[in-house]
Parts: sequence; structure tokens; C-alpha cells
Amino acid sequence: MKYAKYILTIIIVILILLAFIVQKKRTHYVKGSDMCISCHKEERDVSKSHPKSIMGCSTCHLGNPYVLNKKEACKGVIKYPSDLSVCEKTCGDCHKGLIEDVKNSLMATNRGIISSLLYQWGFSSSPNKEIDIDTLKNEKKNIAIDHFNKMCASCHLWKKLGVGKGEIGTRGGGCANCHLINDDEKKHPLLTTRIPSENCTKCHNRSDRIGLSYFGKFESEGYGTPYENGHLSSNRLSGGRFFYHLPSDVHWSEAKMDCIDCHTMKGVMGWGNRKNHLEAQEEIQCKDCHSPHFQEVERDTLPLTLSFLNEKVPLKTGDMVAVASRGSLLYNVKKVKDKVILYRKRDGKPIEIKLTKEKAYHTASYHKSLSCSACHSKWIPQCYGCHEVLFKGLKQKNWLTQKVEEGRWVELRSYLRFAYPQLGVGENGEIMPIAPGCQTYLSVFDKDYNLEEKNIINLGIAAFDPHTTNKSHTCIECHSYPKTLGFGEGELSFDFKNNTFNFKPLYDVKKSHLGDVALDQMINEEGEPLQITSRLHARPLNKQELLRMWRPSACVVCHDKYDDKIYKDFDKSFKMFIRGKGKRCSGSPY
Amino acid sequence: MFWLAILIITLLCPPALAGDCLSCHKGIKTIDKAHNFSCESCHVLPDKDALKHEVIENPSDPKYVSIFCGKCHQKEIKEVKNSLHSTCSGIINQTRYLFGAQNLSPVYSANDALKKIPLSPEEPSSNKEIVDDFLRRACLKCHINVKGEKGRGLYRSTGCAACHMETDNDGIYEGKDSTMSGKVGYPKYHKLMKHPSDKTCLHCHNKRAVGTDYYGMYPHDYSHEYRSPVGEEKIYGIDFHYLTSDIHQKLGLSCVDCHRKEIMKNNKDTMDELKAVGISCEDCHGGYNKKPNKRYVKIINKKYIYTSVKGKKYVLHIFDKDIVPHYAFHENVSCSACHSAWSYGDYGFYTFRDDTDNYTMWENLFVSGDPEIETFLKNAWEDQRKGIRVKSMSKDYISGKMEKGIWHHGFMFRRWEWGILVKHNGKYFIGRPFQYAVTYKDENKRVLINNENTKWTTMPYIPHTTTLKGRDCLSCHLNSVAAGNGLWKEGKEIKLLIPSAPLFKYNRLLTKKEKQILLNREKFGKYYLLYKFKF
Repeated sequence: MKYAKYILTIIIVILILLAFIVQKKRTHYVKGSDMCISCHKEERDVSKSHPKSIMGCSTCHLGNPYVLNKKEACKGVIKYPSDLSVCEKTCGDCHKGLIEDVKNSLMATNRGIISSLLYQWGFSSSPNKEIDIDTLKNEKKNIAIDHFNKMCASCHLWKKLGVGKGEIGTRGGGCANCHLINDDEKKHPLLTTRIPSENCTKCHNRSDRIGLSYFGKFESEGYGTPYENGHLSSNRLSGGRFFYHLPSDVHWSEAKMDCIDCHTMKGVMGWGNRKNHLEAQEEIQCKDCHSPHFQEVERDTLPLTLSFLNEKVPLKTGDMVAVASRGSLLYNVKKVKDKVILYRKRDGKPIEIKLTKEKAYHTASYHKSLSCSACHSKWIPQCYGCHEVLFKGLKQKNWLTQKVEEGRWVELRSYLRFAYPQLGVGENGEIMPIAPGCQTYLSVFDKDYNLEEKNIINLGIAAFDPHTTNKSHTCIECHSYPKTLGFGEGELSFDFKNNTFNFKPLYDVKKSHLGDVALDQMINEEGEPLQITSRLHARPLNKQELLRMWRPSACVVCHDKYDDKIYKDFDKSFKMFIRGKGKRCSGSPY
Repeated sequence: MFWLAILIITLLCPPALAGDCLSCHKGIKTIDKAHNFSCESCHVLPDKDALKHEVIENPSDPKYVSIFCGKCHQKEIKEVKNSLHSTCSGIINQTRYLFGAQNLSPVYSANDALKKIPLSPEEPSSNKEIVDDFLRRACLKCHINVKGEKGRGLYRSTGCAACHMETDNDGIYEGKDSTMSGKVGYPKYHKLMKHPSDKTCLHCHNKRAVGTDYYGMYPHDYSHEYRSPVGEEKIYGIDFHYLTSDIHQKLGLSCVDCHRKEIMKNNKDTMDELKAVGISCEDCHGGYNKKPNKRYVKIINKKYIYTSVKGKKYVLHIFDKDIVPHYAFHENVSCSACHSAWSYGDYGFYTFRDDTDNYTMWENLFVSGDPEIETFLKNAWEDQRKGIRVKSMSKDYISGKMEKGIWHHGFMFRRWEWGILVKHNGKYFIGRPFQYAVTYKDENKRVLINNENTKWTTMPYIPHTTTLKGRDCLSCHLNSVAAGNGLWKEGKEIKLLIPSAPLFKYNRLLTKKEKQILLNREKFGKYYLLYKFKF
């Protein structure tokens, strides 16, 4: 027993040593992640929730982390792990559900673009054809698909990161397309949920140009002016384009809000099933913040996770947060005492939200079919005439197959405008801004550069929120300008005897050899649409709506307050006015 | 003009000589009945020999006009020499003033009627030094001392023939002279016109000035993105949008129906084109206190009749003071302020003299309405890609020499729908902005002038886009752009819509009070109702 004490001590010491060694070994394994870092020494943590100390490199990049031999270690390594073709093995290990959602989201399927294009170019009878980037190869080849492959298909999540030059090269790569920050080229990029707006605008800067308009940029006529230090302007966009400055969206100019401050996870990453067009996927609406409903945040729910990942927006169980129109909780819009506060996701800065005032200008019954953007959109980019030219004798890359194929597309246009958005009816039945998109003129040159085909495919228009939110337009800007009504620039008069409009467009489309319909004329005198949309229900205004808008067009000059008594029962007021031949208004001046 | 010489000579001359001219110029016709002369009398200088083919192609060229045409038309020649068509005094002196090179008075001209426009120094380093080079190479392509550029719509003779002989848009001779047949760069026929055709006027008055607007033409933007194969063939060096044309044009009236002999008048002391115009709308249509001028209009059966130069008779619409827009409150508004359907508005006018051989920078902007420059740039760019160095050169239209460098220009944006109002002699007119900024980069890529603004101005003008009804009241009333307050407060470049003061004492911007009246709702609203609902 005398020795027992020593033996015990020795055993304990040995055990401790063993434990220490084992511990040390394990720590070494965990801390050092895998053998990769014996070469890639300088790598930093990708994000707080993706520490290399726990995940190592191979969790994402695969390869063999247990060998030191470069050849074997790097076998099967993936440079861009979040690429949608491999991400199930990588990101999918943890984020399986999300990957399913994203793969079915519009940014991955491009269904909206493809089906609109096929419909507008006459290759599909419905704008809601269920056709996606991954099913496109089963489709019979046609000129529209060729156009998509070469001109549009560089903007989707399936695109390989790093393929293509300049801005195109930065697009794609699955999750990385949005969540990656390349702040330092020498270091491993970072992953974030605080997605900078530049990640969005690298794609969303063409077509309806929302990513430009929001920041007060307008793609210019291409003069490259003003010249700077003997060069063309430095106000440049990708593809040799330039911009100039127009008023930016009030959410940017006043609050410096980023895209993600409004656009929710679900609205962007989808709902798991494939939607036809963006309005079916998008969930945020103005009223979600400006006339909000609140819900209590429960324990262990998504908003808390999102707030935790964001690191800047404060949120705890029991907080009251706003609910988006499809039910998602807006974890950055919180009720604090009597106020509604938006926490900017980039830095957590609290911004008080101005609530919709219950005043006549918002409650007027005659304006109940208006979307907010109908009045509050200051301007909208209008690109009139989309001249698609196909040169069969040249070659261009097909972004889906990555092969250079015969036939090169060049996109040209007639003219640009920004002021006075035109009005139409959106897919959801609300009156909203509507702009050209796309008014296609097709010219095909054969291999010897002879003009082979020249025709107008169709004149298309699209209703969308231009993201140029500002103070409301005045009454006359909508009610009294023929362009806003949908007629376009020109002379508009009304014949009260026959109840008909009379309109002479300013643009002489026939002499300009651009067909029969002036580019800015969406409707004829009967209120029938002259241009098509890529939706079943979106359209320009019809005659009934035009009449309702036109009648007060002269009244609004003086009676410019919503609570003016003439608008209480405008039908009656108008009848009185006509019967009295306007004498009560005009007096008898002469 | 070569042919001209020979043609005339051949046809109308003494048999022996005529025989010699005609042996080549078979089929040529007499230029017209009034000029039934021998070929030699118009095409051969007194001390030269026709048989040696020492002929003058264009006897009406300013160099020879006194010798040939001067025998009968000495008075006209003197007048024309001092007219704006020869002096370009408006363009030269106004621009030089804006660039800070002189006072606002007629000092220089393109010919020697006044002092001849000077040369810029070899290395200009300020706007006032470079302005003469700018004028000589970029602007003064159009006066009757020089031939037009080689390009569709721009071919044109010099001197009297610039206006009085028809040159086709393609510049091809189509007469019966077998030697000249099909040659490019000559008038269409060996024939003088008493009344120049519109086409002839448009050889100069095109693009962004009064002239092409009469036909509804508005040039496309310059970038390659606007060169669609859909649309008309390029003319005057660029493609055009066609907007609604002037009602007078639709009815078949030509330029010379209104603009008569006064365009040939001595205007040596004038540098304001508006002042040189000899006719007003009121001369035919009457106005607030004016009856139609009997010089233009005849009264037959109580109707006012106008007979056009083509001999067609028109019953004139006479100013009706009883329609709402013609009420007395508009007495100080020019007809064109309302009756112009649209106007030219170039906001921001950036000019760039580039002496370097960097053509790639301008790759998308070769087309700018000058076909000769366009061709040069295209060829130079292609040659350089093959490794051949090409020095940038362009023509000084006054000296006729090639000089180093090329003038490029661009705008910020151009709009046809905005009419900014200015006052001219107490009346409201539509103004046209001139907002120059100048850049000069020398051969060694040194930027000697870096986007320097000149003085800016908004000049009253009369768009030739007349419509019967006129624009809607709201294109001026309650319209902050028309009033001169600009469109929006935010947006750097949008401030270009705020007009700068017009030149000359009798022109000005709207006063604060006038703006208030224009933007006032109540008083306007009452009349707007009457106008709109036609009670």
C-alpha cells in the first residue's frame, strides 16, 4: 500500500499526460483544420459562421485533407464550391433546403426572361410557359433562344464564376454570386448575409435598370460626356456604356438603404417552387413598412437566426417586427415604442420610417386602384426601339454551352427618355408606371452581310416599379399630359359630343420606317392597346380608365387638393360643370 | 463645274468653238433662256484659251463671279457678298464672343466682307485662342465660298450656283452631256433655278438647325447604338428620326415661299440671324394689330389668297382673335412659341479637338454628322489595327488646307419635347441652348484645355415645325422647364435644363415675375377650361 500511493500518482500523471497528448492531438486536428493549410497558410476565416478552425477547407472545397502530397491532396478540389452544379455536396451539407429554394428561384431559372422573350417574339402562345434554363436544351431551337443564349444568359446563378471578362466574370457561381465579398484579391473572399448592393447591381443594371435608377444613375445616350482630362467621361457602366445623374430614390438619397434592406430572403431566394415571373416571387411592398402589421418574434425562429448572422441588426425574442405581404418577418423593421424603426442591415443604423399618412391624398377613393409607384416614381428609364441585329457571318459565345457559335447579336436602339413615366395597369390590377420593353425590330444579315430579313417582331411594354421613389407627381403631370395617359407625345383633344379622343402623335413613325405605331404610343384613340406586355393581365389604360383620368384634367389645375369638395362626388360635379358650361369656374372673362 | 464650262461653251457659242466644246460635251443644254450665251463667255477667262481646256467649271464661284456673272449682276453680287450666307457673321462673331475672344459686335467674317476670321495659334491653350480653329474646321463648312462635304445630301456648289443650281443628294450629274454623265460632285443639270428648291437649302440647313426641322427631321444620337439598319438611309452624315413636319411643308410650300430676296441682302452690320429674316407669320396670317401684307397676299372675294412660287393658290387661315389662346393675354407671345410642335434642344455641347492618333477612344462615336470625318476615322482606325500609323488631320474650310487634329463633339442629352422660353424684343420665343465646353489634347497627349466651359447662352429661334393647333398650354404654363427653372433640383446633369441668358440687348430670360405668372394656377386655370372644353 505504501507504493500504491506512488503508483496511483504515476498512473494519474500518465493519464493526465495521455489526456493532454490526446487533447493536443485533437486540438491540433480541429484547429489546424486539415493539411491544406500547410500550403495555403495565409487563409482567413470566410465568415464568423464558417470558421476555418472548425470547418477547415475541405468541407467546402473538397479534395483530400489528410495528405500532404499536393497531387493527391488537391485531387477533386473545387475552386468555386457554391457553384450550383456542385453545391449539394458542399454548401448543401448544411444548407440543403436553401439550395433547393435557390435552384427553383427566378435568378436560377430565368423563367421570367425566357418565357417573356419566347412569348414576345411569337414562339410561345403564353407568357407563362414553364421553361427554365435547365430545360431550355430540350426546346426546339429558334432565333429567340439563340438570342437568349448569347445575350441574356450571362446573368443567372448557374453561370460559372470567373467565366467571361469584366463584369460578366463576376456574375454567377451560385450562392457566391450574392454572398461573396472580394474585398482583397490576395485573401480568401468573405461570405456574408450583409450583401452589398454592388453584388446586386452587377446584374441588375440593364433592361429596366433598377440597379441604376435607385442610385440616381441613368444610362446615357452614349456620348461619353463630359470629357475628363482628355478622355471620355469616367461615369462608366459595363459594356462601354456611360451614365449621368438623375434624382436617386429617396430610400437611397435620404437613408442610404441597400437593396437588401427591403428585399427579403424569400423574395430573392425563392419559395421552393418555380414561379413564372418576378411578381410571384417578390414579396416586399411599400405598405409592408409604411403601413406595417407587426408580429412577435418567437424563440428559435428564422428572424433571430438572420439577426444573429447579420451581426448588426439587434433583435430578441418578443420583439415586434413587421410582416411582409407573403408572411415573412422583416427582422430589420421593428416597432420601438410608438415608432417604427428600420435597422440598416449594412451597419445596423436605426432609421425611423415615415408612416403613410391617413390623409385625403392617400385615402381618396378614386385613387384606390393606384400603386404607390404610380404617383411616387419620379422618372423611369425609357429605351424606345430595341433593334436586334443578327450577323450570321460573325461569331459569339453561347453562355449556356460556353462555346463560340455562329451568329452574333448586336443590340441598337432608337432613343432614350427619362422624364414623365407613362401609366398602365400592372399584373395585379394596380395602376403603375409602364415603360417600353422590349420594342423589337429584327434585322438579320446573312453570311455575306446582305440584309436577309427585316421585320418588326412586336412593340412591347412592361409595367414595373422603377425604384425612383420621391415626392409625388403633381395632379396635372398624370391627368393632363397625353404621354402619361399612354398616348405618347403629341396633340390630344377630346370630342365631348362623340365621347372620343383625337390624337396626333408627334413621332412620324411611317416616315421613320419603324412600322405603324409611334414608339411612345401605347393605345389608340379607342383606348385599345397598340403594344403588348409579357403578362396576361398587365396592359395600358383602357378607354374607361382614360375617360376617368381625362375628365378632371382641367379641373386639377385649380382644384389641386384631394379634399377639394368637387372630388367628393366628381361625377356630379362634372355634370354640373358641363351643364353650366364651366361658367362658375371661368367666370366670364371676355 | 468643269462640265458646266464645257457644256455652256459647246451649246451656245460661235459654231467653230461650239463645235469643239460640243465634240465632247454632246447633248448639253443651254443653261436657260436668259443666259443664252456662248460657252466661252461664262467658262473661259478673258486671257485663257478654251481649246487648251483652260476653263472655269463654276463661273459663279466667288473668285470669278465678278468677271462672269458680274457683267449683269454686279449689284446682286455685292449684296450677296455681304449677306450672312457669305459672311457667316452670326456664327463667327457670336461664337467668338461666347468663347471670350471678342466683344459682341460684327468684326469677322468667313470671306473678306469684314475682317477675315483669324487663325488660331499653333498651340492654343485657352478657349479664346482655339475658337477660330473650331469655327474654321467644325462650323464653317457651310457658306457659299466653299463646296459641300462629300456625302449624301451635302454635295453643293459655291457662289450663285450653291443656291441657284440644283445638286442632287448623291451629287450625280444626270443631264444629257455624255462626257459628264454620271459624274459625282456636280449639279444635277446644267440649269439655273430662279427659285432654289428646298433640297438645295437643306444641303446646308440640316441637322440641328432650322431647315431639316421643316421636314420633321431630328438627327439620331451619335453612338453606334443608334445606327440601326431599320430606317432611312443616312443623309447629311447621320440617320434621322422623322417627327411631325411643318404644316406649310405638308401643304407643299417651299423655303423660298417665305424667304425671298432678303436672304441675299447686305447684312454686313448684323450678327443676329433673326434680324436678317425679312418675313414674319403676320405678313401672311395677320396678327393682333396687323393685317396680312399685300406684298404676299391678295384679297379675292373677301378671302386672303396666297400664290406659291409653284403657282398653287392657298386660302389663308387668318389670325382669329376670338379663340382662347389668341386672347389679349398672349399679345406678347410670338406665334412660334405656341405653334411649334417641337424644337431642337441640345443640352450640354462638349467639343474636343484631338490631335493624337488614338482612334480607339472614339470607336463608338465615328458618326457625328460629318461623312468626311467619319470615313477618315474609320479608315485610320482600321489601318492602325494593321499597324499603319495615321496622323489625325481634318480640313480647315476657310483656307482649304488640312490641319492636324480632328474636332469631335457630343452632348449630354438632346430632347425635342422641351421648349424653354426666352424673350426677344419683348415677346416670348422658344430658346435653343448653346452650352459649350472645350477640350484640347495635343499630339503629345498633353491636355492643354480641359473641358473648359465657355459663356453659355439660350438663343431665341423660330422652330419650323408649325402646327395648326399649337402645343398644349401645359407645355409652357405650369411647366418649370419652359419657365427656365429646370426640371428637378437633384441630378447634376439635369441642371443643364436651366437656361443661360441670351445674347443681345433686346433678348433676355424671363423675369421672376414673368415666371410667377407662367406658373400661376388660378388665372391660367380659368382660360385652360375654356380652351380645353371649347365651351
